[in-house]
Amino acid sequence: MKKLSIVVSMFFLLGNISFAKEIIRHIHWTQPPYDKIIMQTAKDFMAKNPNVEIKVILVADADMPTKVRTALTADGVDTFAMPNMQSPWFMANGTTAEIIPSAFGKSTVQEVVDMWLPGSIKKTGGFYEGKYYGIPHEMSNYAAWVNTAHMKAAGLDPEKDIPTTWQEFKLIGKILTKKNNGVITRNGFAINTKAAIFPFLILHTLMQQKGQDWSSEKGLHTSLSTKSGLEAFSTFTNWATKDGIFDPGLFDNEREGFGNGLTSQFLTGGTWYWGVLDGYSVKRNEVMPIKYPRFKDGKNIGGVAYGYCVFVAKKAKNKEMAWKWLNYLESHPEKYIVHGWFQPRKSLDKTLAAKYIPNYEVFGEEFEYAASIIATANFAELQDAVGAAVQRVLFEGTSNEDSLSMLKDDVENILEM
Amino acid sequence: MKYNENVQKKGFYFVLPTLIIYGIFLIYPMLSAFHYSFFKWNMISESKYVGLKHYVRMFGDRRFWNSYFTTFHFTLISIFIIIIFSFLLALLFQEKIMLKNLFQSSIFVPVILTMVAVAVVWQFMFQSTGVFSNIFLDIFGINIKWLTSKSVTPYSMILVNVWKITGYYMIIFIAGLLNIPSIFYEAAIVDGSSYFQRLFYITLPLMKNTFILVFVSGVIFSFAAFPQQYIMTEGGPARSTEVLALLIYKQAFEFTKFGYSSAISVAFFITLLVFSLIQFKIFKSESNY
Repeated sequence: MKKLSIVVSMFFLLGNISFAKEIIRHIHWTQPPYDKIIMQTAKDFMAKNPNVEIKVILVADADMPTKVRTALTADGVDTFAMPNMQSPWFMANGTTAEIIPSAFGKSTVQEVVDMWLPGSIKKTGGFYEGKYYGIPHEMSNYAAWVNTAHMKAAGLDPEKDIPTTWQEFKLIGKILTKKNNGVITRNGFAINTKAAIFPFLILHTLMQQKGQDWSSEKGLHTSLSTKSGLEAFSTFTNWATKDGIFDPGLFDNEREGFGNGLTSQFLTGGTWYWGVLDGYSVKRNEVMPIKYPRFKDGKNIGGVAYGYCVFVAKKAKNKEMAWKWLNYLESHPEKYIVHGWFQPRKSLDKTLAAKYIPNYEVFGEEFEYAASIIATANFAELQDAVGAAVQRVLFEGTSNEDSLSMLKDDVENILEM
Repeated sequence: MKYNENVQKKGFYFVLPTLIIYGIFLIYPMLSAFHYSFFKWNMISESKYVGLKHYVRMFGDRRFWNSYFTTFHFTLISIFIIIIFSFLLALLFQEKIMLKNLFQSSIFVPVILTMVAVAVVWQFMFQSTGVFSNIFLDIFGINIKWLTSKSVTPYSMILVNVWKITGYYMIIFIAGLLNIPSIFYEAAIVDGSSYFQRLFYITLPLMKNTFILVFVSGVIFSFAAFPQQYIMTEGGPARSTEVLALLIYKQAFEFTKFGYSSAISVAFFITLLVFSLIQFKIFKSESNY
């Protein structure tokens, strides 16, 4: 009898606990100082909604998709953040719930979409095959960065001699490249070729500028057998193989290399790079971001736009509450912009972006022309194949034509065409 | 008899925790990998039975065969060099030399370092302005592309592997040499034999089992290489260092093709099983003196 009463009491106690608070488990990547903002936002949300407990789980960005996949398999997550390059996989595999307008105080999805800058949900990876599944947490775009101190030392004028075409980019790269005994000791341009994603993203822009459509699987596949696709591809590989402005062996990480003055130009820095630069020896006043160069005869397209969206898991118990939490999480863009983090919510005072992000005019203007990254569940394999195609030319001596032809075979295998 | 049974029973209880841990973390995943190799599964979706499709695909997959041969190349050349180096070092340390303990310890130190730390440091040394590159450029006037040449990088990987594990096998060879009864050498010296005669007619024949043990265990160790390639090259340049373990990782955790990845794991397992069986056979064989 005594045992039974204990069991009954425990049952009610546990029952009360589980009914007392609705728990929402949110996975986000860790990045100080933004962690503090997220934690504080969760606290504020809980204060406004005493029946809800937000458990924020901060994880390292590396291999985040695997961590989220594992959590989803075990029903251990309700909301999560994901970069636009990986998010299509989650949407394609039915792990995410569509936006619920009522959670935002709206009556249609379009009204929710209109809360953000035009096209920003697509560019940050919340849109897949005609449906909206995520809202933006961050949006950025690549600009070209140039070391103006190197330019001055080489007799160039950082005002007048800024490259606007790829031809000029190459010529200035040649002037800025330093050699010792025939070995490049300072690159005129650099990119991380070890990680396939970076060559993929640069090629993405070059292909789009050449009129190819890399925003779809079909367009990507078609581009590989076109003359302009070959021109875009060889423009990129020639920097290392023919133009002599890039030695991939000097260092891996171009952001680090640029920060330490080992390369004079690179193409993979967003607004956030100012903060990164502060950790290296090169000073802020020695560099500047510039718009991506264009082909003379090409389209007016800039560096890729990218970002993170936040999503509600399809298996979340209370999806409406989960969306309310995410809407609240993403309704404080002014807190992030102070640290240089751009959230494309319309409620953000535009003057704050100009105030807190140096050279925001470059990034801001380029957003409009930014290339949208392909939304495909096969992204990881496609970028790996593109990275391998670049490596074949750079390190194996394969011709651009042959490498593209092999890439085409790889793409057909991946897409099971 | 009863006493023995009792002791055996108690002994079993002592090894039971280890058996359970092995069962959960080794045996079960192995069986699961075999099971999943017949399914198309991406961790989230329902698994779909595809029969032998992954195995058929694997046999026609250039990337798989490239990884397989890359792994064999890495393993066999590494082991060949390691056996020669570690045996010569073991012979050297049999002699009376100055600061013997210091040298022995120095050669053994890389064994206790984690491969991750080793790989990061060597990566810096291999950069085109790194220590290694500068030494070769200054002395020989050659600019070697240690990590950016398809023909050189596989050997850079082997160099690091050899540096890392030679010390371990040196210790095994030293133990093997100490195991040879000195009476054989004393008798040979009395008969007027030279150093090389003793080496070829006594040492090498009696070290046969040690050599086979080093070969087999070295193959198993090197065949499973992963962190070194993952950190230093990510399988590049142009997939020239994409070893099997790295390909398995990529297929599973980057491309979410867990079924295909499991099929490659099974091929990997069978290859290692062959070497393990050889090792078991060696352990069973008797000492020949």
